Amino acid sequence: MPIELKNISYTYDPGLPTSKEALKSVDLTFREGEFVGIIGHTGSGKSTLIQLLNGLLEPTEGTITLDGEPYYPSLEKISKKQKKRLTAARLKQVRQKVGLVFQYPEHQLFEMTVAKDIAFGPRNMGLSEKEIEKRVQKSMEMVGLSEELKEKSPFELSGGQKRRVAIAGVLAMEPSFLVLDEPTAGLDPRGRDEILGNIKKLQKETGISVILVSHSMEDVALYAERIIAIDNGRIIYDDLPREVFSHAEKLKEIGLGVPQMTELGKLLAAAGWKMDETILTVAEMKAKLLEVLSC
Amino acid sequence: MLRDITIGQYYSADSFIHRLDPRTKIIGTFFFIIILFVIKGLYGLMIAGILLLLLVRLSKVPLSYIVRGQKSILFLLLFTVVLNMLMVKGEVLVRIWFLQITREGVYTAVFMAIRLILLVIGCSLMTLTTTPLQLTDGLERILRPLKKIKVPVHDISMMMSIALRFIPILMEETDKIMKAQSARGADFDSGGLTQKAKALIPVLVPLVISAFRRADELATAMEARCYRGDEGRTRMKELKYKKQDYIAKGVVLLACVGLYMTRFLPSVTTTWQFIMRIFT
Repeated sequence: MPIELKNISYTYDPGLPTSKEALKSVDLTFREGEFVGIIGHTGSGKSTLIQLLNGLLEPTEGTITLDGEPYYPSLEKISKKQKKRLTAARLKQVRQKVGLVFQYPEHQLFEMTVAKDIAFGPRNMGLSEKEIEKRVQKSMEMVGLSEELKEKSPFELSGGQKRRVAIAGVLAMEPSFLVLDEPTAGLDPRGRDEILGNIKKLQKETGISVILVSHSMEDVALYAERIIAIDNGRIIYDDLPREVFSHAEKLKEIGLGVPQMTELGKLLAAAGWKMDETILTVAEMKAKLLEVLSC
Repeated sequence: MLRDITIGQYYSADSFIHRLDPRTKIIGTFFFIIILFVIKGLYGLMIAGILLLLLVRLSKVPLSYIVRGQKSILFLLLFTVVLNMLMVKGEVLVRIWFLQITREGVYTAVFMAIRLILLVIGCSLMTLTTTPLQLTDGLERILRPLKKIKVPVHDISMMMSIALRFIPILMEETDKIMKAQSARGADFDSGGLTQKAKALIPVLVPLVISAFRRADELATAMEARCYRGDEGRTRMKELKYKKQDYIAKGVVLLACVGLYMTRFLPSVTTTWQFIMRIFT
């Protein structure tokens, strides 16, 4: 069950002096089970894109579908009120299937206990108390929160733990797609590795699709199987990481870059070393160096 | 949804009005408000309205932008109109059960509505053309004499500028939190009043927490720059009246006198009767 975007455009404040076209005729498909990285400089349209995926913004133009069914029913004959009701019902489904974790998600915590906060999403879905309990348990495990934190106030936790609670709150809705907007911003290296590692494990084990928005080229190179690069509201690359990061010049031109190891590989190649292909991660670089040095 | 409110928001443009000293604008607005309440006849209001429209033109703020920001007073406006229409006694035009609409009532209602609209547009014109910082700066200068009687003028104006500055920030924050909770299936639109109020808890709690966090951060940032209140504080940009300010003040004074004079004009009804008499 893929998410498909066809010819999507989005304009903020249309018709006003402050109007800004954030996305320009974007065509994209997000398939099941994928780990997609989205990169783009600040203001390139990434945030708009992920809010469209979740139905928080309605595209100015184009259609967006989940399982082939559009987010916004476009039946001509029905009344405005009926249409509004249908859209609300459809969006409720969409938001359950497409979980969105905003930047600094810990700022949205509000309940008295961790368990209650995680239960907010499932409760809105109208599940039974037993099912909610089960899901809270499960999602806490998924993000690596220990059981004794359950009855604690979320405001007593550390920054990294708070963020896990927020992510667990979205996972408890059991979405098929998990969209994360810079989930590691402001975390220490260990917290970052743990959270991303957990998410990667989750994707491998449960088959959930992950869409990761990140400013860290290293992170997307390490975890993503497909990378989408956005510049100025347009998709400029949508390919395997190795392909995307082979265009180092173009990426730098649009305010991005390549992973440090890719850069190092290029520098070594320029200095006459035998490094022909694009290297992405530290592990790859180690293997390559050992190969080059041993002969 | 929260973007429609333009009160307290600055519209960036380069115009004669924008360049005026904030004090000129504050005093001008003050006089405008007073004169609105002094004017008696519709003529005066019409002239005031035309003058205000000219000012809006001069300020380069699109009129549609200002009008869109007035949605919030719509309720107050309706309330005033209906109440005036029903309460003022006089020559009865329509009678429904115990309610009666009088000629004088309709006249007063129209008069009040126009006065209220002009009042709000006049005030928004000031806030739209003056940054909150300039505004509080100007206010501080105007109120400076009160310092002699131990009024903490500087602190009040600093508090005001911080409060004003926080309006858009908190609105943005509210928008963000509402989106985040919507993504978790929160529903803000359906249900009765109690349910709607309850649905706001997941927004209000994080909002209050974030307001405290921001206030804390702001305090640290201010201390890091050695802020310690009014004592010995100097300014990079001292407010200074320029030629244009004297011109503007002169114009305002003239307009006020002119508008005051309209009190002595015959009222609209008398004029109307006069015209009718000529024709018949």
